[in-house]
Amino acid sequence: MADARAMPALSVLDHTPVSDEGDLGDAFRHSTELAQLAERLGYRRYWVAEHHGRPWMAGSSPPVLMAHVAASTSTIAVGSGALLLGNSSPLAVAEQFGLLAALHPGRIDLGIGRSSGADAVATHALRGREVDVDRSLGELLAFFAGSFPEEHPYHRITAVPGEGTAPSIWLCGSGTHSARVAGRLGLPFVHGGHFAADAARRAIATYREAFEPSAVLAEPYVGASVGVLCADTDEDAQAANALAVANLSRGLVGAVSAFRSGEALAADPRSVPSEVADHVRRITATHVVGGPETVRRGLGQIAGAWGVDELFVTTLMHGYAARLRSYELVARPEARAS
Amino acid sequence: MRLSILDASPVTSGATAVDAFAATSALARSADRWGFDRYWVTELHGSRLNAGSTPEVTIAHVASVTERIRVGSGAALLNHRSPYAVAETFAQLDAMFPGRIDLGMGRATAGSLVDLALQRDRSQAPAPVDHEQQVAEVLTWLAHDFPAEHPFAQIPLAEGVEGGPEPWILGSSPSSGALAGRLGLSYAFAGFLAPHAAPAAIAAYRRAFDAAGSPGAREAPHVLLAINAACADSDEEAAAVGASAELVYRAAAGGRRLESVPTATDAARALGGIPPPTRHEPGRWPSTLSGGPERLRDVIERMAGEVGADEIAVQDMIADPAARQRSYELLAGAFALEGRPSPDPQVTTHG
Repeated sequence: MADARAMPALSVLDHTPVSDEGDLGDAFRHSTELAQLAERLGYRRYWVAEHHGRPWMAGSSPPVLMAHVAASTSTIAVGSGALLLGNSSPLAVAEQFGLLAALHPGRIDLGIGRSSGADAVATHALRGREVDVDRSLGELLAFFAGSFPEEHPYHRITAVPGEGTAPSIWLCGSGTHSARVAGRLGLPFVHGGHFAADAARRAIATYREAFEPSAVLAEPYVGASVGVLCADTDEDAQAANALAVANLSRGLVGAVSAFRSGEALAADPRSVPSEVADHVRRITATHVVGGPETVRRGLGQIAGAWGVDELFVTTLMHGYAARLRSYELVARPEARAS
Repeated sequence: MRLSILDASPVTSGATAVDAFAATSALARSADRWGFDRYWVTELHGSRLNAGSTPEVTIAHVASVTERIRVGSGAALLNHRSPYAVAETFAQLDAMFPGRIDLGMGRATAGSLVDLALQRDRSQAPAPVDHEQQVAEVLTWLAHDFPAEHPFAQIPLAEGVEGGPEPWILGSSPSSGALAGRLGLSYAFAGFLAPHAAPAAIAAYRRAFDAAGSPGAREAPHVLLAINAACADSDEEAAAVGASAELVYRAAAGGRRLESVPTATDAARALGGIPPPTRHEPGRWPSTLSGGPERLRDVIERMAGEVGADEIAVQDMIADPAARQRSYELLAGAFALEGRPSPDPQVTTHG
């Protein structure tokens, strides 16, 4: 159980946001730079998200970006947060993450999620029919362990690479289902607190109740993502956050394909429906925004209130330099400009 | 002649997939320095012999540890994938490594069981897919070319990125040649799989070629011939290191799949001696070639001339990592590739 007074371990969850100051390639180069910075600053993990058809978030294939990031860093753990299992075949995921684990032993995390990461049309383009994600998870674990029983048809299939080169496996969720499954399997659990803060306590309690010790974990291990925006002063952070909120609202209605500057948004006459703006405002109101002291305090409170061992700092904002600065100030408050 | 490498990350007898990918990383770095044009990696499933099963991730790794060489899939198998996911992933790779990514597309079965396991919906047997329609859909995604009324027209993909991955069709039959031709794409022929079919497949490609056949079409036909070859300092040594591939192909022809690449010594023993170095006989190509630099260059140039190939890609099954590196270093010299000096003169092979 995390101590309410101590800061938990800090990690990065990166959506590879696209800023209007560059192109898609710059967004990926920024992600690599962020991972290198995170490694220097002592963040424990650097995880990437999976999104489809959302052009202001560039990461659509976690294992592809992870391969590049892991090759460009040397010690930080690199993972997916989350790899959306319903979009893929478990055998293909075992091969992809088996390769990453073969190339970077002990550094690869496979965080698994249930959603599609896309709207309905893109989901159809990706998926077609719905699949049973719990069954997929069972198959995935069996491919890594080479543990299909003899009577199972897949007993004859070997995941190459994959069998014997497993990453460490985490379940990611925002409700109670993944929490319960993670608990039963004795796997670490990460709650998506940056978009579902209100559901955090219930999900984490469900996880702890369901937890059964496993070969991986003797005790529950809980992570949570949390929306964070840090700047040198509270005022600067609030201003940058207002811009981020405006961008996210416009992004959701397809009105921007990148995080844009305040001037660019002001010049755009299109308005955002109030229900979308309210939705985004409700979610982002749970984020921790401010100067380094404010953010430290906020993160400590959340960690204590939710009872988490590790926080995944999730920052979505305009401007690459400002974003790197935010991650720097969270990890090293003393770096604040006075 | 432009020379490229097609690497299936073969697993040598006594080694593991981890060793195979370490060798792939080392060979890719060397190939980048020696002036090879492209480094293509495979999608082969359920095979202990070849560890290269997930080309998009291998490509991201290889492109990360190299600087200049083009990196691509040989091939991404569309029968296991959604066209949107293929386009999205390769567009992401192209954005990460601008102007360096090739998207080789093909289809192949890994057996009905593995084919089923590779579907995201495994509750029913995979429906037969129309390969041509799938390739066309990938090209349409990459070109943002859906008609306005199509539901997919509203889904953005790699907006604002110029260029994109270079599309290729890979195959080993006249039907794949004709498909590449109809779509006006570059065509890579797998000469190690079906050497006898090369003239007919490449002729079918040229006959069908349509420079307006798809959003990815090129102006004129362009053919890459992929071969399996072993090169060494002398013809005799090359034949000895080439024995491993000879045995793997002979076993395959007899319906037997080896679990790993046998060492040259074991292969020679199993074959009852070292096979003779390759001679070129028009129209009767072997699955695997061997020779010293001059002989091998001569054979390869004659083969390329026979079918009018514009480029060559070399694949191998050389068991010894140092001999494998040496084979490509000698080939680079034989074809006078323009290499770059090594950043560290002591590092010529990584083992």
